[in-house]
Amino acid sequence: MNTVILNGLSIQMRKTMNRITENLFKKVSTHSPDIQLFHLDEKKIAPCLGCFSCWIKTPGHCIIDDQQEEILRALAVADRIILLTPLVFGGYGPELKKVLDRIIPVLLPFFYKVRGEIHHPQRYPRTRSLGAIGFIERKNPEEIELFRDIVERNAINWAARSTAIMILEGDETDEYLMAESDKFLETLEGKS
Amino acid sequence: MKARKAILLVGSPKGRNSASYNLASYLLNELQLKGFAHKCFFARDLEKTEDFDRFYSALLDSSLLLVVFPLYVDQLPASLISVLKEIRSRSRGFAELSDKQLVAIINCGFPETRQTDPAVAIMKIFSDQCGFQWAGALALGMGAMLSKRKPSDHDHMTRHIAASLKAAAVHLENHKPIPVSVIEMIAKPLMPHWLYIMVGNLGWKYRAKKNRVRSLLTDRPFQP
Repeated sequence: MNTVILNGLSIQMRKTMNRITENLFKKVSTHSPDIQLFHLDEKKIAPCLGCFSCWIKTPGHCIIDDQQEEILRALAVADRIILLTPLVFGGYGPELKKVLDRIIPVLLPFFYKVRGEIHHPQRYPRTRSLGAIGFIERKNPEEIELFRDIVERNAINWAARSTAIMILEGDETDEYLMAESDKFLETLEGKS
Repeated sequence: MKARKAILLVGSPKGRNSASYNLASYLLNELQLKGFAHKCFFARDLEKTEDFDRFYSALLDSSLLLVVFPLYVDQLPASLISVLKEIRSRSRGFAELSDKQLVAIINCGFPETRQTDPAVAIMKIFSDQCGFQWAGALALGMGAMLSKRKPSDHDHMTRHIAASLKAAAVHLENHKPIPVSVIEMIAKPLMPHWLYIMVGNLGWKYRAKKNRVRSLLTDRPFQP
C-alpha cells in the first residue's frame, strides 16, 4: 500500500498540527511502510500554465521542469492520498491547490460520465482512497460544509473508493486527536 | 459626472488568450458603453508586493470588482486564491470594501454548470469575509468552446451568453445584484452534452495527432 501525504500547511501551522501528523504517520506506517510525505512549502513548484501540453504534446509529463514531477510519480502509484490544508474561504489553501492544479498529467484528457457528471478518467487506474485534514482558525459551519463538499467532489476526480475528512482548530486535546485520527484512518480504509 | 470604475481580475494563467478573458471582456465592453472606466489585472502577475499594491489601490478607487477564472479541480486556480487571501488580509475591516460590488464569472470545461457550485460558494464566502456587496456569479459549462470564440449576438451558440452579459451590465450599472434569471441564462448549455463530449474527445485526439503523439496519448510514463 502506497500512501502519499501532501502537506499544504505553513511551517507555523505544521507545529500546531505536528501532534496529528505524527500520530497519523505512526498509524499509517503500521499498515504500510511505503509513505511519502511532501511538505509543499519546501518544494519549488510553479503554477499550472493551463497549456494542456501534458495531454497533447508530452502525454503524462508536465512541460514545467520542477519538483512537481516527483509528486506526480508518487501520486501515479498511490493507494491512499492524504491532503493537509488550511481552509481558505472553505476551499484549499494555495500551497496544496498549486500542486492539485497540476495533477492533470495523471489523468487522461477524455471525457467520461461518472455519478451523472462528466470527468476525466485516470491515467493510472488504481483502487484509491482520499483523505483530507482541514485546519480552520475559527469554526465556521458554512466553510466546513463547503470543504466537505469539495473533498467529496475531488474524490470523484481520483475515482476514490472511500473518503475521510477531518477538520481541526488546533487546540484539540491529545486524547481527542488520537480518537479522531483512528476514526479518520478507519474511514479511509472503508471500515466505517 | 465622475466615471465609475471597474476592476477586472483574471484568474486564468493564460491571461488574455483565455476563454475566461473573452467572457469578461464582453461584460467590460458593455460596462464601458455605460460610462465605466476599467483596469485589468492578472492574478499570476500579482505575486510581488509592489504589483499587489498597485492592484489594491486601483481596487480601492473602484466601485466594481469582476473576478473571472476557469474552474480548476472544482475550485479557483491557486494564484487567484493567493490574491483573494491577500485582499482579505489587506482590507482594514468591512468599511474599506463595503461600497464595492463583487461579481464572479466562472468558466467550467465540463458540460455541467453545477460543477461550479463549490467555486461560487468560495467566492460568496470571500465576498462576505471582506465586506463586498455580493452581486452574484455568472457561471457556465462547456467553457472550452469560448477559447477561440467570443460571445456574440450573431452566433447562435453564444448569443444567450451575450444577452446574459448585457443584462448583467444593466443591473451593475444600477448598482443592483444580478438576478437569477440572468444567471440561469448564461448557464444554458452551448450544445447537447453528447455532442460536446464527442467533439471534445475527437478534439484531444486531433490535437495529439497534430503534435505527432496520437499513439502516446494514453501512455503511463510513471508506471513502475
